[in-house]
Amino acid sequence: MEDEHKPTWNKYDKKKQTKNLLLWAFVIGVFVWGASYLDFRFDRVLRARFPLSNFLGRMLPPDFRYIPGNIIYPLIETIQMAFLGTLLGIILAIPVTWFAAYNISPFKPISYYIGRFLTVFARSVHVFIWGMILVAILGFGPLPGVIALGIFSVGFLGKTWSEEIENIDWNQVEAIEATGANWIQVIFFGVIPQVIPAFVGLSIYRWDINLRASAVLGIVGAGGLGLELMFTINRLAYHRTAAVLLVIIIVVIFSEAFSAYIRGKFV
Amino acid sequence: MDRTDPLSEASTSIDQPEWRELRRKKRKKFIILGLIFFAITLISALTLNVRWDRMGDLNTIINTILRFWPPDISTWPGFASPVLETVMMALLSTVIGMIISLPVIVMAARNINLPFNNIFYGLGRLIIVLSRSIHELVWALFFVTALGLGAFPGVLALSVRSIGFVSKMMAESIENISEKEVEAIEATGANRLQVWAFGIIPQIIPTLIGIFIFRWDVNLRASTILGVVGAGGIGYHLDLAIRTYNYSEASALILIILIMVGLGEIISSKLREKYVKESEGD
Amino acid sequence: MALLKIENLSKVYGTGDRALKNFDLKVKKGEFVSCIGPSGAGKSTMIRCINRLVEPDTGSKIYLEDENIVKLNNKELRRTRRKIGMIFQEFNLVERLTVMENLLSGRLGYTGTLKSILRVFSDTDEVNAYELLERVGMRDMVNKKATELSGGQRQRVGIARALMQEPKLLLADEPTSSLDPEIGRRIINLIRNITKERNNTVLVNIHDVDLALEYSDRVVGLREGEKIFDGSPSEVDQVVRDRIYRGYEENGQN
Repeated sequence: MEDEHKPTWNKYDKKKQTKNLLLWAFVIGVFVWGASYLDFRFDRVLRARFPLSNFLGRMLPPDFRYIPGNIIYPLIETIQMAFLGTLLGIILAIPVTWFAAYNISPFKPISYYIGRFLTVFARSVHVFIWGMILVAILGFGPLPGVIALGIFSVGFLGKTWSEEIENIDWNQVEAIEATGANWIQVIFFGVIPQVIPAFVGLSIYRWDINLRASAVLGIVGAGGLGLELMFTINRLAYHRTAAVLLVIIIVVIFSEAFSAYIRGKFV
Repeated sequence: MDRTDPLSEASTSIDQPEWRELRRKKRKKFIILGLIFFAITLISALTLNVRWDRMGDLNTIINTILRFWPPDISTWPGFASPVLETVMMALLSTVIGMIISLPVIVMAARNINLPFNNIFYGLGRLIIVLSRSIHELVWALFFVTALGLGAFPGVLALSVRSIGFVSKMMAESIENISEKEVEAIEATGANRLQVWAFGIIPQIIPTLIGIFIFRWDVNLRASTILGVVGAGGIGYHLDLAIRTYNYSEASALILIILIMVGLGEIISSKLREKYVKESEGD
Repeated sequence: MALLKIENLSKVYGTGDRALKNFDLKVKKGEFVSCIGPSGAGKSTMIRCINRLVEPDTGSKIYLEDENIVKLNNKELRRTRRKIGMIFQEFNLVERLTVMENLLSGRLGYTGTLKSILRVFSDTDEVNAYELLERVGMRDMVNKKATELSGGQRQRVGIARALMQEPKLLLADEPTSSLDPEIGRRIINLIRNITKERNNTVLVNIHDVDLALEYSDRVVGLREGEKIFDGSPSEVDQVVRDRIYRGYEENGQN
């Protein structure tokens, strides 16, 4: 240094400090402006407690008697949708994964790009939007829900599965190649044994997420508990709404416990 | 458990069928499980309440699909406002969600001891479970029904939904901090607050930033569809377009959503690279 | 009568590394040939070119029983690979499969696709598998997953797997380098004994020169991709060793 200052310590130098300060000012500015843009005022939050507690009062206690007759069937439909949707996703994901995993992709690089594109595209469109589109095309009911879940799952499984395959120990595969096996045998003996636990784990994880989504896909018309939920709300029968919600929560919790159990056993 | 010279190995009787027996048993188990699975699938598929009457014939279906293309981009300018609203919703809810999570984190972290620790721990965990089990759309429905339409209930819904993720991750991060670093600061005679500022907080900042970025990305995707139930954002317009059979407008909107989400993903991975690494390098 | 004839084998990797330069070798049926040399000499590349896990450069010729391996198409290559068994440095067993399945995978080239996937192998295959397991001392580990085995045990399975192919030629790429010296010695001993019993031809890469000298019929020395020595073990004195490992020129320069 040129002048004889007493040495001072600052966590960041002047330049960085100003930059940090500006950054914080900017972020807070955006935040404040955004809040006002959305008309999100703190007093509104405070005042909201009145209608909220009012509403809660109208929801509780949940109307348990509503459950047996009206919720069991939609519940089954929800589980059905999730199951078939996940299954569909798994089936469709197999060829897509094959293409999208660079090390086993059959017609590189074209097949690799196609595979990657398909998984990204399937994933980027929210499962709900898929649901909305499919309800528009196919009408109400659980079928669009199944297909929406299937398509979206292909995105997730395609990405995660192909990443698993790309991370395998290629030495083991080489050893199988060296015995004179054909490519199908190489995949079944060299690749698949290495990735099966992960594949199963991811499928079960996907099933869990799909079940949660399936419960609410009905809001856009795809059947299941979500539809039932909408019915009760439209009729202002909030006690029943609470009952449906309760069932949804319980199902989700069970599903999470169940899938954690199965994954523990497999992986 | 390695053997000595195999040449001196005594010849045990060769039990031919052994492996085959195992194979056979395994195969049987496999086939039975497979059949059960197949049966479940078949029953599920056949009993699915497909509303054939509402589907129309193949022609109608194909026609409907075709009507989504090409997307009507001319409608884009009109949607600038909802897009902004969507982005703001995501940002706001992430921030608010993290702020609200503070008490929950304190409750749910196992190494933060409070009076009546067990009750608070249970409460914290319960809040987390509730927040995560209820889909954001349901939360949105709840708040919209109670408070009316608009982005306000939407922000509340996403904030509440974020509590689960944020609290869980932060609690885990706090539980995983290195006790040694904290001990070192304590050993200097620092008071409780200083221990926090110098020992604990610096360790969790990278996680904090990472959580913020990740959750912002997730909330962005969620806020694109909250509008479907009237909670603000571009979802409302998408729903409207579909209801009014304006399919090319709908696909234009979907395109916007795709771009938004895509940009969000790019930005968040860039930010994560920059900030999470930078803090670790400090 | 040469079982394996390598002529003019060269390999330059994409990175520009010249791994092999005009390598020639003739291996007679029943011979046990060791290949020695410092790391990076090209031993591994040479062995992997033989079953084309690495593709040799144009101009290279590798004859297995008068058939040029380099010119084979995929289908013919598979057929020929059946006749070449390989033992790897890192054992390369399929970890999640059992010992038995690893052994049977040696017969994949001889078994139909559908049958192999369903794990239906011929009776003879299974009998042979048990015999081989017995011979390498792994009989009672038949149904253990490969992950449960020690290094030495894994290599025994690897040896058995390669021999299940009933190969004309057995290649071994540094089969002992990942093992303790004591165990490594037993493995080389095992390879030597089994292959002599079955009159197999063996080409081994080996790091430990003393082991090579003790067990081989013939020794080949490589250095920087070129063959420096080819002769009987008794001829490998300190001068030869220095030439191979330290690169003293023929006329005594360093």
